[in-house]
Amino acid sequence: MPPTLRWTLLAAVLVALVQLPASASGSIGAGGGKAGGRGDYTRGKAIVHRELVCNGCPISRRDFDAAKARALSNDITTAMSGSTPNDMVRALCRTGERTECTAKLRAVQTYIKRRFRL
Amino acid sequence: MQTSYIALVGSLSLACSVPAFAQGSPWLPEPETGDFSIAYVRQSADDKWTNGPGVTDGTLKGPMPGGELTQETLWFTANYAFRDNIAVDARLGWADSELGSDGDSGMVDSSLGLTWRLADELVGSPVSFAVRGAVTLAGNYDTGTSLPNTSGGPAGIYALGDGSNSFEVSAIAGKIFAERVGVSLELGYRNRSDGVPANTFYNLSGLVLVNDRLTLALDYQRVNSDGDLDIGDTDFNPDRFPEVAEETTTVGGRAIINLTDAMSATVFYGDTPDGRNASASRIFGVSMSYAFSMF
Repeated sequence: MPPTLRWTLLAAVLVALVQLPASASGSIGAGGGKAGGRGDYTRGKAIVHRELVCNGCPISRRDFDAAKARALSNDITTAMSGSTPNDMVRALCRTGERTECTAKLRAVQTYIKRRFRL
Repeated sequence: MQTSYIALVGSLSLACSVPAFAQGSPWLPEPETGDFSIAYVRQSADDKWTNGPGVTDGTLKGPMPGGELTQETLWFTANYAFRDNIAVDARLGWADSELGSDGDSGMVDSSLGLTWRLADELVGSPVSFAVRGAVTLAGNYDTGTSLPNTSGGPAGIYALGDGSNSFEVSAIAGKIFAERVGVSLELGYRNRSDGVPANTFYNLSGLVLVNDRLTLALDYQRVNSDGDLDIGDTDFNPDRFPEVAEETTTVGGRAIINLTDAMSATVFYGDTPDGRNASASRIFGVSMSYAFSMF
């Protein structure tokens, strides 16, 4: 598993894992479970902001808005339908196997669709 | 006379201990997702910290003359993220406590909290940082005054809580290291009603992702009190039980097992190695969580 995906896996697991908790009474509570454990959103967020939207990335953080997100989503949809991917999509799939690339694209699309309510 | 009174009250006061921990996390659920959890928690204590011979700050550890004090609590909790950086949490529970042949049961304090993440390490910040605010409503239980004694021993006081409402704020920071380890720190302040002293608290947690199924965690929690009344002070009496300066240190460990994509189980054990006007509790709990999405 490539480093980015491994790292974001922990991030996905950690969502909503609360500390050994208790209440404001004398009654101690139980640890929280995993919420939203599907993880694609969190993985996609990490990939986008490491490989596409950052200083030195194809898109600067300041310019990443709903329009850019929609365009990226359309590019991913096009690439996943079998058409030739554009530079942006190719940047996500420079290394790794096809299955890894597909997983990354799916995660990125999950993130931008839900983040920008596309 | 004073010493025997201290022993009597101090030994039997206890369930009101461990006044508060917060439950903040810098890692929020994904937007429009959340989880429901049901948990069983058992607390038990054979010892307590109170005033005693030569000790006037509520930190003398000694056995509880009334025997083991136990409390079993059933918790229902929910978490939900409205947006990428805003989540709410709610909790209510019912508990049963026993000391010898005495006991009490009822709804414990309920809480509703909101967490706002201000910085996210996944989008370029060096750490994740959030603030949390929460309100707590007192449950339905005896706050420790004049519980009947039918065991033949000294009359005592204990309670499922302090019987106060509260508002708390906390700051929470977290960071993921080396791809498999997460550390979070929470610092908070809790203001309480009905003369119950305010608390400051801090929680430190470390989590290790063992594999896709298993996450292990270690927790350290400390609660300090702004109060100065100790069990055994000359101006202490059972009616003032909720006003005592109750402080605890709790350490614990958790195992979180992902059973399916949507279900997880948590098992934890904790202990209180240090306290003031509090019980030396051992804590065991199990919970089941079900994750859901609204999109």
